[in-house]
Amino acid sequence: MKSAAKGKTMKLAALKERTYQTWLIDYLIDDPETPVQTAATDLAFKSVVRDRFGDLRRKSTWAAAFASLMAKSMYNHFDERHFLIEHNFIEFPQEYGYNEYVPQILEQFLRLKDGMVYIVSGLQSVLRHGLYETTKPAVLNFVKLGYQVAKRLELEQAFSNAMAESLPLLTASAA
Amino acid sequence: MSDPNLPEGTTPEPLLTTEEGTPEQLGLFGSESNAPIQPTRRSRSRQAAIQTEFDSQRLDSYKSLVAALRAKKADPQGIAIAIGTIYKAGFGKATTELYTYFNLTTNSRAALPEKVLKILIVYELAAQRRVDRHLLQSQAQTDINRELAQQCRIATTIMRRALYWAERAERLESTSLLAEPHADYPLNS
Repeated sequence: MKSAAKGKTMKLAALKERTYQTWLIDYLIDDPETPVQTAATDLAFKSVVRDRFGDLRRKSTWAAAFASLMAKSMYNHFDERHFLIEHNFIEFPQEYGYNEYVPQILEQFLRLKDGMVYIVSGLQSVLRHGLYETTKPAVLNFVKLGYQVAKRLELEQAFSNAMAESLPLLTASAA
Repeated sequence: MSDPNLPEGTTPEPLLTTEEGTPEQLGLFGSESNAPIQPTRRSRSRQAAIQTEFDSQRLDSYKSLVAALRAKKADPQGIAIAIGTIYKAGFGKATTELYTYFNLTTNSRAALPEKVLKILIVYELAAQRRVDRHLLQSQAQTDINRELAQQCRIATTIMRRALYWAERAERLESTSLLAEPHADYPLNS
């Protein structure tokens, strides 16, 4: 579902459908024949969103659900941390129009066990191996965002320390 | 690990809190080009060089897999489904068994015996090519994603077989690898 062009935001209907597809991933991995409905018709899905995130009539509910489910999906299914950063945190959000939710997704991701480790090691890998899909300014912006979100979670010192540890590696890669 | 550029006991400043002092200014990104760094030839005398090449090979493999999935019109969810299927049904569970066999912690890929790791990489690429061969017509996105998931299930069957041979290659070096695995082998299902 390519719901929005680059740089544009998702409308509510697209946000609901993307949330639904994200929720459905685990079921499709278990069984590719899992019936695919829609966000409006899948009662089990609606029940989960209502119970965990609140009023289905509010866009904020769907934004929270999308950020939470997307963070968990990325955490579970993209163990290649290099591309976790490049594809999932930088490229896809721009291409598929959910860039505005990246801060929330990142916040949810950092709340997961070892989420910080995943992010930092992904950034280290990006800098060790070079960039495949995105640009240096985009990576820099993501590091900035990482610090801001970590600060909101009162994890800025851990984030700074973790990134500081990568400085010798990064400096060496530039040599 | 600490920053050798800082005096001992100095706490590094947080990165990128302002426009000044970015990693770019520190030259941390290396080449100006955004092109991927090409894997270098392996030096047999340096373990670090071997690990770097394997890391690069895996990244190249993963990049190609994602590119192939996207070429087949998979959206981010489709890619997540496909890769999640691969890791859940093959790479994840089975490689965990592989690491356990060699008394390694999970994902300590570079610590695998070289020949085992080579087999692993070869079959990851085989799994990737299996997906890549899959041609799609105009379909609904959900159909595309589901079909990719099915293809990845086939790919992971290849992967399970690869891990069987990886183990055999290590344990029975002088034995032909052309023999069939035992029917009761746990990964042969």
